Amino acid sequence: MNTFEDLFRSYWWLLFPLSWFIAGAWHSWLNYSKHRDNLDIIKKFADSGREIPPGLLDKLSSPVPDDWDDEGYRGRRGRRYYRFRYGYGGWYRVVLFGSLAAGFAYAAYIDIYGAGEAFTIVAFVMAAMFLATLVATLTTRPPKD
Amino acid sequence: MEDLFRSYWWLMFPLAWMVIGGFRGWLDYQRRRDNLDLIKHFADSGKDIPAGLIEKLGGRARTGG
Repeated sequence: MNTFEDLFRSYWWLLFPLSWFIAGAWHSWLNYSKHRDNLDIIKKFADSGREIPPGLLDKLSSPVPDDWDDEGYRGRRGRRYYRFRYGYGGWYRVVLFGSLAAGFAYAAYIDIYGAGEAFTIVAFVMAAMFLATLVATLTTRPPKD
Repeated sequence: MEDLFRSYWWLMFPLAWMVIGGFRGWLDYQRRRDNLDLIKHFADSGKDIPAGLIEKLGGRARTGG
């Protein structure tokens, strides 16, 4: 029991990145389910001989949330939203990973909690994600309107 | 066992990354297969495929996240 308690005390912070991974996978699954449901609706429209609404077809091309109407999705704001929410890039993420990298690098430098080595690895990971997100943000183009 | 964990805990990150990558790849595959099923459904029922449907289906395949 003491072993587990020691492990938990040492690595409790692992819960955060791990839950991040799980939440990401869940989000991907929900997006896929949504796409599949849209296909089912189109199939039903086709079976019943009715014309398929154009808005429904538009929803197929990208995983846009339900509360984001098609008009709002287009244009500059829409592109920004798209990058922020669904792209690998987005200035929000650049700032987030940059801040995390800087914070963990500082924690490693001053050997906070006596875990400098662990913080060094985390700082490297965060720095890599910061650079990757920065490149993606500068180079990724959203789908055409 | 505890020593192993303390030495290699960081392996969790690349492993989780690989697992998530595989999962997303599998979702992309499912997504494309479902798209083809829909086209097949139209073809089997002898109906015309609505204008723009193929283009929309061939768009962004990534599952987001």
